[in-house]
Amino acid sequence: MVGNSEPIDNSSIIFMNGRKVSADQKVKIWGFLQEDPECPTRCLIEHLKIIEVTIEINVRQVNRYREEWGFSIKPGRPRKGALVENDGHNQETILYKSHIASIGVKIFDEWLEQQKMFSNVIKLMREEIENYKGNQTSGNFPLLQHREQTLIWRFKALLYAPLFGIGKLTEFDIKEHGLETVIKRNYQSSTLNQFFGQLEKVNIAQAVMPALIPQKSGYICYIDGHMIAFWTSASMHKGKITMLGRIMPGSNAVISHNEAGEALFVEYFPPDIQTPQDNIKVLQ
Amino acid sequence: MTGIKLFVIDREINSLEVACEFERNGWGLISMLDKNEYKNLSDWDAKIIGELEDGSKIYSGPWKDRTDDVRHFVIVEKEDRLLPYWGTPTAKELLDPVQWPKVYSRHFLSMALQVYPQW
Repeated sequence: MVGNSEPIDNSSIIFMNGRKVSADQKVKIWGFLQEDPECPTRCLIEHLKIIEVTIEINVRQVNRYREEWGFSIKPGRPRKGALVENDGHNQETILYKSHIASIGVKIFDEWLEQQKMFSNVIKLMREEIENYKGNQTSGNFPLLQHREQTLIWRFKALLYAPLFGIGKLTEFDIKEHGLETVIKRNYQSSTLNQFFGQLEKVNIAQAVMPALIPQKSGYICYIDGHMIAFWTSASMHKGKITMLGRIMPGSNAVISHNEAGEALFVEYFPPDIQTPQDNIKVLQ
Repeated sequence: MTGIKLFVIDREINSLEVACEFERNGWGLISMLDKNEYKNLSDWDAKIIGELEDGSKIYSGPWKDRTDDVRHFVIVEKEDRLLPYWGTPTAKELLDPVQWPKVYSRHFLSMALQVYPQW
């Protein structure tokens, strides 16, 4: 316990009660600096305020103590990397960077595999291909001969393309992506284009739809809107500008889901679209 | 594709045009009325149709003096405020108006369950 006027002697430093900062609080500041002498003063104050809610201390005051106790650091803003490394009080936070490209998609893929999503889709796909083969006497194209594994790989390539930031299939040839991490192979856009075209020819969409949408779509559809800011260096006169280059609203996301919260439809619209009219088109 | 005929938009929109468009397509739409569109309960020709679990009264009826509006209204009278819901005639056919406040608030619960499944 520290008395109001009793000084605290910590080895060679004597802590006295000040007008604003008590001796007890000075000991805590000193303790922080002992733990991490390079900690920026601003961070130190933030941490101090967590444990000492009532303390009123500014940067200049702490810097005076630092100089007095021999914990001065070079003036100026610390480098970003140094901030993370020197934040000794957040030792539980670990900065981890995976060496595997697109690890999020890889985890998502594992999860979908556990849900048996692909086996259901491919089962329906194969049934449709077999039907097509039975009905058509002429025409033979690669899709009709594909092995099950080939169908899975190519379907995954198409499914995950947006998650790799690929908007057009030709971007598979020119953009860096993590498809190989997920399916252990890579595809040229021409192969996927051909596959896509052949799926359309067989009219696979209707057949696989039951495996892609929730089994029970529900009775009610809830529609949510979400506006996302648009960043540009070009001059625009649309919306509210809250920051240089940031325009709000940017794209309008429309998300619809059933009463169980299962997504039924997600679409992004550009800022200048008449969303209510488009919603109606989408719902149709 | 889904066969769903009843929709809920979870924001205070006040577009009669949207309501008419939904009605033309044969869909029901439930939403909330913008705060600037009404003053108090006397704006509607409303009658009590039920009560919520917390004791708030539920009123239902059309506008008192706006005959060109096809929408039907359900108003919940809380202690300090009104919560007016509107719906298209199809919504009224598909779902009993006394259920509208519950169905509307269920949306928030379902969204919360997606984020916090342990609830």
